Amino acid sequence: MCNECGCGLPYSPAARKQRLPAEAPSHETVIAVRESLFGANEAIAAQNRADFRRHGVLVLNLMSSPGSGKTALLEALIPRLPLRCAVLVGDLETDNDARRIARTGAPTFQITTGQACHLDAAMIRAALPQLDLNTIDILFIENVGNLVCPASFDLGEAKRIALLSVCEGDDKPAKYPGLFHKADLMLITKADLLPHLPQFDPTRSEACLRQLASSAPCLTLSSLQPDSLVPLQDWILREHTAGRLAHVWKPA
Amino acid sequence: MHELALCRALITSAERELANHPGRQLRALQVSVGALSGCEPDLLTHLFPHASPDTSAAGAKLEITFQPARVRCTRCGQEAEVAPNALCCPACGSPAVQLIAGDGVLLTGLILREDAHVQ
Repeated sequence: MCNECGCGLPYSPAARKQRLPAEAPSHETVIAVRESLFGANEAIAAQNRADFRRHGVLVLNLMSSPGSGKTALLEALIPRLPLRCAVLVGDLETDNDARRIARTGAPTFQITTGQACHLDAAMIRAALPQLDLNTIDILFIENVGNLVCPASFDLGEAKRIALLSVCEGDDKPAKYPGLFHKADLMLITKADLLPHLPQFDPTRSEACLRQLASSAPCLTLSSLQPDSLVPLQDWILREHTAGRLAHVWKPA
Repeated sequence: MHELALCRALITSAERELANHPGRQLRALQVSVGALSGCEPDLLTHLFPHASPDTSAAGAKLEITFQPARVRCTRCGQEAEVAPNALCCPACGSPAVQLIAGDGVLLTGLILREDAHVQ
């Protein structure tokens, strides 16, 4: 087991130089390398994160399957937040979602990904010149509806929010652990439909999330029931304050 | 379905390393694919030949090792292989675990041969 980064590989970078060619014919050489294929994305994400922190902007990456209610949630939530919000929306095609959210008054920009199934850090970086970070407190990034690929791409966000609507299977966290185990908050959406969907058990969803060794809070809400959004508003305000304090008090 | 992008990243990394070994050609790339990485090894194998023409990796093979998820419990110290959707400590049940493997897609090695041996 590697002792340096705990990656699970049977050697460490320090041992790289001494590593002997293994089972290769004499004219072949085996070179040990260790490089994450997400490294290039992570480098850009780090630049994004530094820019967001410097401006005290809380960036929230919303991830879910298509149709779980990300856009409707932002439409309902943004007018209720006493903070200046902006939104980046990723979709394969159309700017329908961006136009809907823009009606809240928040600056909203569509990122059309073409055939790409997720947003990556470079797409966010390319969109940043459209935003004046000095005039924003919270940036919501509505990721492409997909429970697999977005999980692998750090965008530079402060927190990840995973949505699961009650119209879906309540065991989604067990089926898509890659996305849910990294979430900082899980939202069970469209809860107004729960009386019609007795097969969906929110406690089962949360149990699946706990199986992923996650202590992320789990909130059940409906974008059509404003009172149900209050715990989410409180969570966002707390995170925003915590982020600003961390920045202000961070040692040089 | 970002495996094609991963293939391109793989080739970029391999070419960077290859630059340190003049006179050698790539025969194979060794890749570790984690259980929680969101990457499908079969797709990677399928797409790699489409990403590699006109690069130093043209004709090279992919050797993929699947890396199961592994956790280290910060409560009881146990290290164990776990299912991707059951990440709590299998020994004591604690959720206070660190994911120590199975999260990434890594280029772990290159197999090179002398140019003279290339047909």
